[in-house]
Amino acid sequence: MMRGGGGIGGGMMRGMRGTSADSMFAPSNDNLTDEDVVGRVYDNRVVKRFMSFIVPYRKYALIALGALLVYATVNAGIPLLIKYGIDWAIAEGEVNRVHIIGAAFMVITVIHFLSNRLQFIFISRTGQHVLYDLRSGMFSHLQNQSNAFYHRTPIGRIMSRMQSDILQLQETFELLALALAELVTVGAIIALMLVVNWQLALVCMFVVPVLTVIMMYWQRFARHSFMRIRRAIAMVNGEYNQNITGVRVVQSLNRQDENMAHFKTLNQEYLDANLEAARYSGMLQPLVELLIGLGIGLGVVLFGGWLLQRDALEVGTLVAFAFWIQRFFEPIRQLTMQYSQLQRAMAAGVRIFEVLDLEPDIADKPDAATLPEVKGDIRYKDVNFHYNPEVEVLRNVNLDIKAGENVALVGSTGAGKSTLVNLLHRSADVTEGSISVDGYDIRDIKRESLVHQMSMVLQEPYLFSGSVRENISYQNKGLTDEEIIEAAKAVGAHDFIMEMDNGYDAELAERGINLSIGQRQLISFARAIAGNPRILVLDEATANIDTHTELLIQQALSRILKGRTSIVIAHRLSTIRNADKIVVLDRGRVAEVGSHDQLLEAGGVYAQLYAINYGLSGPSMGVAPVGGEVIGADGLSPAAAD
Amino acid sequence: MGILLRIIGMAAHYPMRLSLAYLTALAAIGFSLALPWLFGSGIDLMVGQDPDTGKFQKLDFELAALVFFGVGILVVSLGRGFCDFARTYTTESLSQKVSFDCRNLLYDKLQNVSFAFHDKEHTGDLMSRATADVEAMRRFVNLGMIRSLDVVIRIVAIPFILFFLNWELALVSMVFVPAIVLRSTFVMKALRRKWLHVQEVMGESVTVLQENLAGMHVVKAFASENYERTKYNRKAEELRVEYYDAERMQGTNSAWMTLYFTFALGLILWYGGWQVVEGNLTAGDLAKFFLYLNQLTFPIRASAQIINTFSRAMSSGQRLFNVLDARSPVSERPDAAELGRAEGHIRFEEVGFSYEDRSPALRRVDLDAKPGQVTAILGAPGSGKTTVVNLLPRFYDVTDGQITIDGHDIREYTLQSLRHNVGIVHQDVYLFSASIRDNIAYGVVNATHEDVERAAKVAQLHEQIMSLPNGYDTWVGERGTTLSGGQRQRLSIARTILIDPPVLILDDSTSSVDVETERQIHRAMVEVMKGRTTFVIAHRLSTVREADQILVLDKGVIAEEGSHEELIRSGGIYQSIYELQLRPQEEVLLEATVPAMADGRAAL
Repeated sequence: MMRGGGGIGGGMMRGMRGTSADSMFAPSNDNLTDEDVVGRVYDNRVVKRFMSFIVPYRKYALIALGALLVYATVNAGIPLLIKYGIDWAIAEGEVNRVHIIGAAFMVITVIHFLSNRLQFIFISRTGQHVLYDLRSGMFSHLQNQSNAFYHRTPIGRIMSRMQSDILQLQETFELLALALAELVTVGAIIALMLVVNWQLALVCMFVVPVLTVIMMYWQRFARHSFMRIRRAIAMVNGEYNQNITGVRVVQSLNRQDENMAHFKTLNQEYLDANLEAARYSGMLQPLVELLIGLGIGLGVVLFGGWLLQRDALEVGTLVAFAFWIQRFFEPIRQLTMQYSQLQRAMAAGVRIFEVLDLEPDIADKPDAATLPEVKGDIRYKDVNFHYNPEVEVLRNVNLDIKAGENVALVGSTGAGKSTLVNLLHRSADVTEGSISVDGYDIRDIKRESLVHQMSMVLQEPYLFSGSVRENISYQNKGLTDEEIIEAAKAVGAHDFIMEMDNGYDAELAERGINLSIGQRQLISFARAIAGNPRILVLDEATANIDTHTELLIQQALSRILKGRTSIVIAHRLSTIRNADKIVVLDRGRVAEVGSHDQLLEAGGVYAQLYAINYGLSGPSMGVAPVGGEVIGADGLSPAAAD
Repeated sequence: MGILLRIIGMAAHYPMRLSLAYLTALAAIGFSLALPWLFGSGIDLMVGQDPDTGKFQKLDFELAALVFFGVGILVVSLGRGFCDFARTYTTESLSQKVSFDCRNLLYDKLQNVSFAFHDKEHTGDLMSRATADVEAMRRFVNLGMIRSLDVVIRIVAIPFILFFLNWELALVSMVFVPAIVLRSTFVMKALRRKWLHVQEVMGESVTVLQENLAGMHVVKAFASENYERTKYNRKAEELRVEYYDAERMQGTNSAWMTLYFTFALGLILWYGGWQVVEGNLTAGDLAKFFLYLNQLTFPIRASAQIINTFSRAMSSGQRLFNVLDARSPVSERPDAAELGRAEGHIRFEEVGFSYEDRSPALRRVDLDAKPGQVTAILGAPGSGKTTVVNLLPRFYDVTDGQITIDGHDIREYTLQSLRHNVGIVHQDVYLFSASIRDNIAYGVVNATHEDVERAAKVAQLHEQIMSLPNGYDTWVGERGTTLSGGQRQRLSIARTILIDPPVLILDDSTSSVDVETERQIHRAMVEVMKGRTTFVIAHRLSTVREADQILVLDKGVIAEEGSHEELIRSGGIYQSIYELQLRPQEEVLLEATVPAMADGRAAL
């Protein structure tokens, strides 16, 4: 699952801006092969950048490095101590010297232990601080991105950057520390072997170049098979996920047998890929053992024995060499095995820094003023807007909304209704023209001070895990219990909240899914009006909920809208009719503005729509003459009666 | 323990691999134990002790003997290498086979188990069973079953050899073993707790992240970025502290383990050296002690890890077997018959149903739907509408009474043949990652392109599909093109048309879409209902009015039934629903559509 949603590579950034926020068929820019993109083994920019994150913790890092060097050196030095123990003390038959060496060994052991422990702790301390900074930095950057960014970037991709990429980096960080220790150990071993007996050292090490060549060659195959595993597991998990989420469809359409057959092929591929990788990684084992055998058997015992006979070497040296050779190949093998991990880490690094380098597309000006408490006058002046120069979403929109006015936005799908209201809270900036609130251009003030005086209710109610209370006071953390309850009562949510265990303290599950969609929408209505915002925007707030809840909301609506500037995108005639002002949008232009009666009288687009939908709705809807009755009635429906 | 046995049982399906793995593991141990002995004996061949001075002196020896030891070491190493390879490979292949089987079983189980099961389980949790828990089982087969043998044998054999060589020195060098054992048991337990805790905090931070990203539009609309930052940073900080805490403990523990071994080496050098000088031990034996002790490092370190795989396998195995053993409450009778193409006469006889340990969702529901009739079902949310239609294809089984199709209890038939006869149009249907064509043909494996196209045409979807650059090959589902709700609903209709079931369930509960979409959906629904016994969960007045009978559910009981006119006249619940919910629909929506721009623009 970790890899399942894995978006890798530049795909995220390549993402073309959607042509229109309203378009139903958003073009897909993702391709499925992104998983294959793998970085180089060593990418200087990534490492440099990573280092800059370590700088604030250089004290910890230096302690870790120092400890690590001591540890690795002592590690390589222990066989040397054994050699002296044998040659200087034991071989000479000197018991006192044995005691001296033994005591020295114990002291070294303590140093070994302390440096070992120290390096573990400080590597971890440095690493965890860096990871915190990365996480926090990425998260913070993500908050700065506009809705347009989220529109074109699947959440799964961002999640995988924040989770698996950071985990990759963490693993690598530990790995690099380990690798450094291994390298120092190998270096120290080579140096010690050469110093102690260079002839024997050379004989034992003549295989190293051979090993290097073989490993490099091996690497190529191994990498291929590791990639194969990653691809295969992504497919397997994807199929799993899809089958679980779609299980109701699968069962109702009897697809189990086909799905099973399909899954088996994917699963088989994963098995095969694993077995291939097992063959490759296993192949190194006989090789390393062969080299150890050559080193100890032929090198140390035969050649060393020959040197011993000629008094060119002492017996302790033989024992020390046996130790060294055993320790010598292990790090090399380890490092080769970790090669692909390094590649993955570099790629992860690239992706993480990509997120950190995102420029916020909407940022406050440095000298942005705080918006004082507003009355709620809104003015769109000559507003043009587009995501993509070829597709104008809004054209020359001029709109004057007085404080306290209730405006209904009307227009067909894609006319630009949502875009129009989204510009108001700067989810994007106008391409031309300006929007002002109480005479302040909204680009000149702090976004937060603007947005805190307005609220939105969106089509999809979205809540956060936490208590009902926390959700209602999401915008205004300082609300009193009375204010919260008042808001819930105003929208008709109080009753069902009280029916829940713990009432306002009831915990909502992730995204509030333990509530019905209607209940969620009621809470999001309460959230919107709690704290009494001056400006309220309802964007098809009742489109997705069941008619029962819709009814509740309809009843509350006029109460909610009273005394605020409000912009409502809605379908329901009662809502539209009662608006102070109706704005008809047509393909990004304001076609008409006026009250219901004015617009009917004017005989323009609105009147035409009205006629089509109500006058002629009968036959085309397959509904007989009832339509006429309703139109004829005054007050229309109980929903409107309030 | 039963769980472990069961996992072992799964591995025993591959007796060849299993026995080969054990054999090669044993051989590898044999070879590696020979190495220190050969080396030490080689040294004794070359060097001896002057009995008077206690000093070492060179000995005369046959070159052949030295070659024997040298080449012996080479051969032993090679043998060990190849056996290790064989062991690694067979073990890996065994463990991968077991996890392969496990994934297959799990997949099959999950797609066949009834809805009641899926109602309770979360996707994320089921996914983690398929990934993390299967992996834990694989590791158990690998480490717990095969590797543990290797470790146990070494831990027993090496001290035995050392005692054989020199029991006093062996005792001295083993003095830390109790400390190691104690540390392993206690620290490992504490450590496991810590890591579990890290996992929990990690999960919490992921939840915060996921909610934040998915709700970014809300965050933006309320300018809560800073609040969200604080919320996430708090979790990230907690994660950092917990991680560090666990890592520090792990690091410290690992340092202690290393310390024991280094100390033991020191003691061997010190006490063993003394013994050599005293003449109680040869130089070669001392070398053997060093090298054997060195060989003990790995098994002891690995033992903690291995013990860990046991406990992981217990909990993971439990979670896996819980799913695999889940008895689907909906199961076929052994003598279940095949249902051919049914007429479509559906009767509910005194049907009662309750979801697990909850109050009854349906009570004594009677209904009779003749072939080709349309039954509209209405009621407040939670009144049992969805339950009624979920019982028909046996996504759940009735708890009381029975449902019959053409006069026979539906439980007499195989699930597959029953479901072939009952089509469902979901309101918001799940799209699979596949082309539009494959999604439409999802229920009919051998459908031709013409079939698919015909179905799409009837479902009023063809033109919109053709307006896409890739037409029917357009990729939908996750990472694909998104379809609007209305389009998905019609895609679901097209699917059903292709299957052509005599009985149909329509879920149609959106309250409002724009008029043009509304018309298209309506036309499609009229088409698909033709000649089928249909149950509609309806919110659309047009559908309700056209129904042959209307059922009004209230708290799981049929409160009213009859035709539109009858129910309006009787002045009960239906009438009030009509006034409150249905009638206002006639003043639906100004959304839309001057005829001229209706066709082309509604599509895109």
